[in-house]
Amino acid sequence: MTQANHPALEVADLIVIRGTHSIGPITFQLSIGKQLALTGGNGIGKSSMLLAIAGLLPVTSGTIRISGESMLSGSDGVEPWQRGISWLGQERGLWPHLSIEAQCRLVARDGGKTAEQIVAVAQSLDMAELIQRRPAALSGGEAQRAELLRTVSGGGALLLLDEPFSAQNEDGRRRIETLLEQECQAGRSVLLALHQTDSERETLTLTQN
Amino acid sequence: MKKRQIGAFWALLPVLIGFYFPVISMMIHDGLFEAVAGEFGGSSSSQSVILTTVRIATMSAVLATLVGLLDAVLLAGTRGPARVLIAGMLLATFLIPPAALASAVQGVIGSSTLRATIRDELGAVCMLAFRWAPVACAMLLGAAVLWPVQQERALRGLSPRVALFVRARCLMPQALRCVGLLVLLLISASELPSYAGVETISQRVHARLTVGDAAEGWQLALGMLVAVAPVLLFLVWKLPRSDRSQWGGTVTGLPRLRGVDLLLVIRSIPVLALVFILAVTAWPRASEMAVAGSEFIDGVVGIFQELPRAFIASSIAVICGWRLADGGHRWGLLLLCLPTVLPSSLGALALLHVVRPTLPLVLDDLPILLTLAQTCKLGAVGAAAGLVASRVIPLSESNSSRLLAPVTGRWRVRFPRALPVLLPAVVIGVALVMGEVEATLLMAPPGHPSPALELHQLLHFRNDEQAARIALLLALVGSMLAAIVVAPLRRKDK
Repeated sequence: MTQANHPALEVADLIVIRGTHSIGPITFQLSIGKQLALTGGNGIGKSSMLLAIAGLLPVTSGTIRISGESMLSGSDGVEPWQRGISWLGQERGLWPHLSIEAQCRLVARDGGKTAEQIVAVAQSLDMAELIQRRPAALSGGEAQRAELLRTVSGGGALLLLDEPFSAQNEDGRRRIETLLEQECQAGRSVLLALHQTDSERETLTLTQN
Repeated sequence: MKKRQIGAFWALLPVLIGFYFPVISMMIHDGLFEAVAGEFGGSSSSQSVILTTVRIATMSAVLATLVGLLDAVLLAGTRGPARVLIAGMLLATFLIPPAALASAVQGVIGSSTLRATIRDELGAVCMLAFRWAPVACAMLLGAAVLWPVQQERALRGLSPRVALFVRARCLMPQALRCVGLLVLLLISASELPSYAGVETISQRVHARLTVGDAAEGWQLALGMLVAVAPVLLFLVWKLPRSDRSQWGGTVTGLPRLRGVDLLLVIRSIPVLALVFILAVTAWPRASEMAVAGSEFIDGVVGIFQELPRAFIASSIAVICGWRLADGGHRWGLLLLCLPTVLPSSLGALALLHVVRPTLPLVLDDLPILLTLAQTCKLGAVGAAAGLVASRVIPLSESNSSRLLAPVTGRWRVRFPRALPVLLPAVVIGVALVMGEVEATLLMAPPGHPSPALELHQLLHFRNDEQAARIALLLALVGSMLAAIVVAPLRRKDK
């Protein structure tokens, strides 16, 4: 059975606990080449779900399958770097001691984009002239696009993006939307956490119940 | 064996070879277990010396941390003239070896007066706190300047005094851990208490292992471990994750308080007095200039010959500590910390009895075993530095690095990010190795240049002038080293 027969992501009855707060159960599927947005109020657990899928937050119960493979087998589950994902957090996670280009090359080492492709993506995000800089020399919106550039440079078939538009103006948002569409056409899938409903893509709204 | 466990294993190799293997072998050889089966706990005098040691270490650690907390809050939270100079001066007391510090204190108030006025334990506590307060200050200052920029800016909007209180309260969790670390480091201190006429566990264990009842020495060491076990567990288990990530920027926006300047000047007086006493003692008479000059050059050469070895020992301990903390190996960290609690002479004697006979003769002239023993002794420094360094990286950065292959994420991302914490820890380790006497006395190869040993011998033979010169040189070299290491980091992160 090839991986193409499976959805990019299957989540079933997933429950995670953050602090004393239990989130879930939640069930959904994301097909290959599609985008899905998790929306809902503040504190509802959108970011926690993304963290759990990325392997960065322990799962209490339920299943997570990425490209048909269970991520929760073994004592600790599959390590985050072995899940075939690329992850963009809500808070900035750029590494301040490396230039943006160096960071992109680092994450692209294992089956990610080539140097030319990284430059092309940087151009599409209006970052071409900034990739030699270190994070401290970028504005908030530029840093967010730089981190998205790093995320997209990796080889993961599933992109987990937590509030990727939060620091963007109209132009920035449009550029990111275009990039995500291109990545989907290339066979990647995108799961986003957004704080407001979105007409651009399929949406799953999380509620208290 | 899982890769994760192999990763923990290599970081524990120095301490396994340099401490656990020889110590356990020697324990069996000396018949500890038979003695333990017969009578564990020792005599009431043994229990008394353990209690005295724990009391002195705890009181000194608390006092040193309180002074260090005050220094750190004032230095991090206010601006004023000559702050770099003041910070350097405060650090100098730690860079002067304990023998020279005690000798200078005795030089001023006299050893008999010391006994009569600052009697026994109090004298030991005061001298230990005076020497170790800069370490507490450095640790807490490090935590304070790694505050996230946004939080730092928010603090600068408060009234100056309120801001200082908020800073102090925010530093309290770190201060508690600082007390824990200092207790571990001070529990095996023997030099300074001996100048105040107090017998500590280190001295008793050393005496029992060398000339007395070896089994009792081992019992005492075991008793010590039991006594400090809660502190060890507290240090390794209860460090929370922190979001501290960046320097607080420049001094722009920091308040200036006249009272703080005055307080810092008062705080600097004992340090200035110490440096002054050493300088006056070190200054040669006109007829001794030529001899003093040549002795001075010998001292410099000796220090610079010893520095690379001290740097290697300290770096190994700190890197191992960081590797274990980064991998979340709590048991590994505990194993790394344990040798710090026990007297240096214990590990050194075990190495001499168990490992040295197996080494080729050609290695006898190299200070390999001495370096290994001192590396093991710095375990708690390495573990503490590792724990702090792995927590100062913001969670978002750490999470991003976990999506890389483990080796890449660790050495290309998290290790460089940890350097602002690890490098000062290496400097502290270098200062400790340069001032270490117990293991050096037992293990240094003939002709090995050791400033600490030389200082010890000079003071023993009452050559105070030459001893003061070496002490000043050590403080100077240590300060320069600290400046060289810390200055580029500050510039880069600003």
